[in-house]
Amino acid sequence: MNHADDAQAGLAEIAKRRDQVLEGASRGRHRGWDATGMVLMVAGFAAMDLPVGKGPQLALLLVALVAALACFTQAGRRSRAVLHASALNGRFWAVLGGCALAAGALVLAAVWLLDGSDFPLRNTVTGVVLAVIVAAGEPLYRALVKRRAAA
Amino acid sequence: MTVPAGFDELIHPPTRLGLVSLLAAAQWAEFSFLKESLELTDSALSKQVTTLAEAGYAEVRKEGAGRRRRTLVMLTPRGRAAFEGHVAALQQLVGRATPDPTEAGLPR
Repeated sequence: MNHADDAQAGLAEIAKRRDQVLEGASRGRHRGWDATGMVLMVAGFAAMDLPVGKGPQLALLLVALVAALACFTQAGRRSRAVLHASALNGRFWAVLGGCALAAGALVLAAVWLLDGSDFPLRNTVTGVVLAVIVAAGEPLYRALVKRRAAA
Repeated sequence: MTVPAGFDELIHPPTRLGLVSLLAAAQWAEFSFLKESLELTDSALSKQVTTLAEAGYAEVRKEGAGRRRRTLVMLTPRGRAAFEGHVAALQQLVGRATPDPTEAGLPR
């Protein structure tokens, strides 16, 4: 193997390992904290179905969402690997932002559909839909980020 | 062929290149994650990490206690700079081997 082939193999190895870290940082998140965050998120939406005023409902939703965010952050900090700032490039944010926008659009569609019904727990259902979308979107996010990293 | 500046002999061996590449993409990584990713034994990985730590390229930190104790490995700024220099050197080597289309009389 000459120098150039050796260098090419080295660069391929670097790209492969970078993908492994992207995968590990996402898959290796602490499941307990992630699950708690999801439950809090659903609970926040469920608070909107409580028979109380709009103010307390929104306050409960806000508190639950902040607590959920704290849990998701903890899950990331207790991960097996944390991405370095250099890995959080424009492509990474584009994929993350795209996934967030898609999730938001799907939730809005769910809200629009449920608003037309008399279902009493429609906000709870919205929360569950959001949690399902987030969970189901993870493999897609991983695939897109990895494909982008290889590019 | 001369080796470009920045080419790091310490980083270049395949196992160590794999380890440094993992660490370069991460702020830190757990020892167990590195072990599984590189398919190394505890002692083999420990040896590689020690070599990097002795060169000032990596740092090892212990966190937590009891069953939750974990060993985190991270690159130092010096290690990161060495890795970036090494990547640039590898790219230069590949670039040298790829003929310039203008030199070969080919359209760009």
